[in-house]
Amino acid sequence: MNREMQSGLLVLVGATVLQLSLTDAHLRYVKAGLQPILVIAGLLLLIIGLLTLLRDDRAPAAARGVGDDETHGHDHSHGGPRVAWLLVLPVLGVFLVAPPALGSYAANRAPSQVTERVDVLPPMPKPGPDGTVRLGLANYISRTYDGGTSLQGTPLRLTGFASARPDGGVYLTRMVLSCCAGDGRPVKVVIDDPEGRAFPEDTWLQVDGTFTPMPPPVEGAAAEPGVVAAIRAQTITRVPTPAQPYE
Amino acid sequence: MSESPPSLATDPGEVLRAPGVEPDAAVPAPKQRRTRITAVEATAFLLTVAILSRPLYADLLDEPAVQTWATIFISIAIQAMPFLVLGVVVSGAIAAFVPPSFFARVLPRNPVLAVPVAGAAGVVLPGCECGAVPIAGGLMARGVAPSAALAFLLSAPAINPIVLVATAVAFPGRPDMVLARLLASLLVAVVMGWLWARFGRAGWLTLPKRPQLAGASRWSVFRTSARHDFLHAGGFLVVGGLTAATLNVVIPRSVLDTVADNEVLAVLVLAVLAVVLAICSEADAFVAASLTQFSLTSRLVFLVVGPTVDIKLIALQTGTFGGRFTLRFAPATFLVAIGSGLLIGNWLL
Repeated sequence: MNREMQSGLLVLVGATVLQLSLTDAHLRYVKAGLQPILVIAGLLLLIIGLLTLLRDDRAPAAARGVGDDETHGHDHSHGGPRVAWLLVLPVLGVFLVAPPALGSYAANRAPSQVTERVDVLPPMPKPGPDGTVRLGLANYISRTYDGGTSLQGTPLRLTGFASARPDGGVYLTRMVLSCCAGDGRPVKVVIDDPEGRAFPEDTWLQVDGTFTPMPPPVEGAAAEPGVVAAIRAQTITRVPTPAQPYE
Repeated sequence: MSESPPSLATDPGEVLRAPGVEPDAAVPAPKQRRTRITAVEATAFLLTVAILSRPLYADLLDEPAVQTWATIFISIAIQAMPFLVLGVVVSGAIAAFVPPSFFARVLPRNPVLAVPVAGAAGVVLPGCECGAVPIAGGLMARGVAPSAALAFLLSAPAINPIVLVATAVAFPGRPDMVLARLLASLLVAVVMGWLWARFGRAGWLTLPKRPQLAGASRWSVFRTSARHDFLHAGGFLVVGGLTAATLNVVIPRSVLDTVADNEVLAVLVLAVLAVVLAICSEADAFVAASLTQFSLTSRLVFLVVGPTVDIKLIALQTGTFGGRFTLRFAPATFLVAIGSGLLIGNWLL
């Protein structure tokens, strides 16, 4: 690849990174805390790409020195490593495919992640203006291990997306990231719904309800590895996909 | 082209010929200037075609499997970008602003002492593998003992601060993973350096010529080195991301679980994967983090093997030091890296 293309690739990738980091789009793939250094990385790539295009590629041949590959023993006779062409793939992926955050497909491929038992629970958050206490799913699950003593009688609000339960009905699910979407694992909570409402997978739901112990396993029912908590639903509302879909 | 009688007043591009000679006789006219399509134009064209034809393959893109695959791939690539960019910026700066004589002055003369010092020096000098090979070659060309230069070659890509921070980000809440990577990689560097000091023979090593830096301004060297390193590393990062996404979505979980549960198989598979994938050390922690079925020790082996021996390094080393060197160095490094990863992993993790 010629030098223009080399710089062009840097500009392309830099622009892609900037577009992701300056909008909410990056929240579909990485954690929110990465945003500042992601912006910096995108800017650096843009700047280096543009400067090499405008300054260094116009320089006389004698000044190109290390930019040429004569003494490296590399295998790129055309002046740029061929593997670098692959860098168009993430660009294409972001702009052409623009895939959403991990959803029910990924959640169905993995058992619910076991949340660690915590000996001393932090105090419950204060209720919101409508009187409900909002909890993350992993937080909620960790509070159910002791029989839900911290949860008794409190109106709760949990938000997640619907993923299929083996024998019908849906779990309230969220994907938990440790590093980035590459390692996302689901946490699932059974929705104990007296009205038996059905929802398509990947619908985002806001469940207002109260703590209830896990329903006992039914004879002949499919195994539900890792699923240990349930919520008794009073109101279930569809909500739009949140900007920050992961926990 | 119209026939014109042979004359001295010619059209541009026509060969002067003697009167009376037919146009298509002995001397051919020079070729017209061909319009060549540059890589930039070709890429712009292909991208435009891809975008405009999107409705044709939109159904395929809506498949949840394809979308999940794409999400995992993009997330690994994006997550690694800041670390990769920082790595190439720093390695470009070292290539441009740090004189090679600095290294030569700082190391002890005695090879046995120089090896651990050179190995430890890798902590302060961030650089992807692409940068470490030419730097080590430059060190040898300036009289540094090959064993010390090789120790630096192995440690600098693996234990520099950017890699360690990336590892900490990839494995949150597991600082033992960062420590294990540091110790295991340092162990590999020192062991290989000492092995070379004891058993290495000069005939196995072709000392590289010193790279020419005539005429270029330092900033120009910095920018072009950074661009060069980014293209190398970025390309292989994409390979790593594609593989991780495919492992996560295409390979049935039962297969992955079987391999991952067998500790011996897991270590071997990840070691070979590290060699084949050739991911830059600033980014490989994020690929390792996505392999959640595998034990931490086997993933540590992946992280220790990768920066020390992979297909990209084998090519670089062959180009810089010769095939006879790589034939001995690469397999030995592979074994020592696996051993070191297992040792430290079982101790710390």
